[in-house]
Amino acid sequence: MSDKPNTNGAVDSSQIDEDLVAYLDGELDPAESRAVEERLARDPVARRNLQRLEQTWDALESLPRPDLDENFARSTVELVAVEADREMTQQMAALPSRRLRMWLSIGAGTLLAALLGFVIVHFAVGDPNLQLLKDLAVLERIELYREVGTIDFLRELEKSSLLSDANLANVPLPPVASAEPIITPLPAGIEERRTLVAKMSPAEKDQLKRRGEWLAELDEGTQIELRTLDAALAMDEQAAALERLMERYHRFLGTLPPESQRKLRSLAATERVPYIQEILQAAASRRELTQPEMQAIHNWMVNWAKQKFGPDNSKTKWYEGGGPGVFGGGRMRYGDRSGWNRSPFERLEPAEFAELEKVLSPKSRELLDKIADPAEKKAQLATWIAFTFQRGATRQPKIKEEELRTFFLTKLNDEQRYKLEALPPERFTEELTRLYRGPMDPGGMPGKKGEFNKGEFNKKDRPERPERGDALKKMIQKKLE
Amino acid sequence: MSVSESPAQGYELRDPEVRLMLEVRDDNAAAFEELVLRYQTRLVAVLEHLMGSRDQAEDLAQDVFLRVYRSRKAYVPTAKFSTWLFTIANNVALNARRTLSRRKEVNLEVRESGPQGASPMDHMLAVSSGQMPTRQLDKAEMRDIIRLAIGALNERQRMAVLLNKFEGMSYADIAEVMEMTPKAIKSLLSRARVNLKEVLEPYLETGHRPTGESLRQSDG
Repeated sequence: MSDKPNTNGAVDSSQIDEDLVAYLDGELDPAESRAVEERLARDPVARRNLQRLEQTWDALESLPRPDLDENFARSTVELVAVEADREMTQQMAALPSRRLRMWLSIGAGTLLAALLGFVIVHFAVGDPNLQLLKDLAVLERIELYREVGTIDFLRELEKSSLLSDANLANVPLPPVASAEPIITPLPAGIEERRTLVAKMSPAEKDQLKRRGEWLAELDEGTQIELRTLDAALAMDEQAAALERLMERYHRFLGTLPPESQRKLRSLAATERVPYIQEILQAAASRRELTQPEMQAIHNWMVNWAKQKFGPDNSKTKWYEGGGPGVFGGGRMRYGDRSGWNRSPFERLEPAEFAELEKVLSPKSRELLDKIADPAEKKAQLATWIAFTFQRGATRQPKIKEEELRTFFLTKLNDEQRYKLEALPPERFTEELTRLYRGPMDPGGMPGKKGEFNKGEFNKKDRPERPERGDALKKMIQKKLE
Repeated sequence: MSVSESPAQGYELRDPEVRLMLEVRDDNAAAFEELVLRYQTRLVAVLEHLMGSRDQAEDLAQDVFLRVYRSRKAYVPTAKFSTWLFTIANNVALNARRTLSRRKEVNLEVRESGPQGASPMDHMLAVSSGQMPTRQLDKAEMRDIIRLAIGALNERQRMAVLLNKFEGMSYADIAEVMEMTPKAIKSLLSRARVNLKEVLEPYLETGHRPTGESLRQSDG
């Protein structure tokens, strides 16, 4: 290999070598790669060099890689545990107050114990169920862990006190605090856990095993996340409080419509707390009106419109045909979309609105009396109507398990079944139900298939858009001809 | 995702091992254990061929993990985790070699017979040209030859080759680990690999044995 310029050409052979090596490594940009390829095409010497370089590189594969046994990892962790101990001793010695020292010894000692605990536990040889026992907490709480995601989120949620009893009481959600606890305290030691599992019924053991398998099949990133959450929780000083909060959050999630649940699951930890706050604020307006009340409002508004605009006016017809939901206002959902709807109540003069109030239920009147601003009164009523309307749309009759099973076996294709079976047991039913119900979105207008869809407003004809797939197929076919 | 994502957040989001390290920063023992398990073999593999000694490689690997633990509170993700870790490994190895060179504890075999070369590489090249294998080498012999060839590179070349081969690192990442420019790495790697090619050339042929003179020419 020469560093001197080649006697023939302007290009120095070491530069050529550099480019060949970089070419093999894929480190050249497209222009440089082309230049190398051109050279290779005309220069047999370069080709030979490339071949040799490649062979050399491949030969390096035979360099032995070490085979480390568990002793290595154990001694590494022990080394670090000793270091942690030393740190702790140093820190403790530097502290003046005896109480602080005690506190620190509990905290750091936990870390030390945890480190050593893992050392002892992890390297016990020949135990196929060991991973299962280690993951016991994760498996039992897997749904909760997946919802929470990270310890940071839990801590933030705790700090925010959003899910306090007081906040949840102000809001018409199903009771969250009073239900049975989901999380049972688990012993930390492996042997104690082994005893616990031995006492389980065959069905419980089977469920545990299935969950273990499912956990093992999750992508690595998720597995790491779950286990680190578990470990972080175990070591947190406020572990008990955070666990209770986790359960509470789980129940809170259960009261939300599927869309909100999905959104919360997808948000990063820092963005969730503000969103939960929004939800709670919105929930204050989540009051459902009775059907007779809705009907009364509808009748009154139709009459008013007939007098104000005339019986044949398009607005009148719209009110008449659209049903009470038409008067809903504020943020409304239509399937997966949401929009801001201005309620027709805004057209009412204050005196007129006062007349409308007379047909409302006593409870509604009582609540509206508390609001001073007339515009806000209208908005509140509109929000209740919107909520009632959407609630009505999402209230679905429960499907029988047998029907679901038949549906699963006969109406789905292999790919759908495969995808469903990859889901965790709890989500399986949810998704299967969704498929069963078909493309009707929760929160979609019931008028689509119901009785309200008679008004002019809904008569808009949309031109049929051709399926994208078809257009693509046609294009391909054309090219093949 | 917010538009104003800082570089540190970028690494945190994209690299699960960075997230693990952040957990270690927050005193999560399980996360630390996970990192040890993920990297112990990889670290020892590179260090073993770098230093020429398995025992020493294991010691140094543990040093690396200890440093990782000690610096956990100050950890800010400014790179991929693997790049950061191997930068520490590189530093640990450099320090060890400085101590070593005083003691001359090098485990590379050098044949006693043969021409005197100024450097191990020259020596190996001479050996390659002088010794003509009379039979096909078996796997174990091949492995030995390759190990010797790697050992005959200078330390920087060796490290670059190991990071390139064992870790599949890009030139940019190797540059970061070794605190050089990517351009310098490109030169370094090419010199190293050309050296290796020349040393191993006679052993790569199946069949034809090159003569001594023809070895230095391009077509054997």
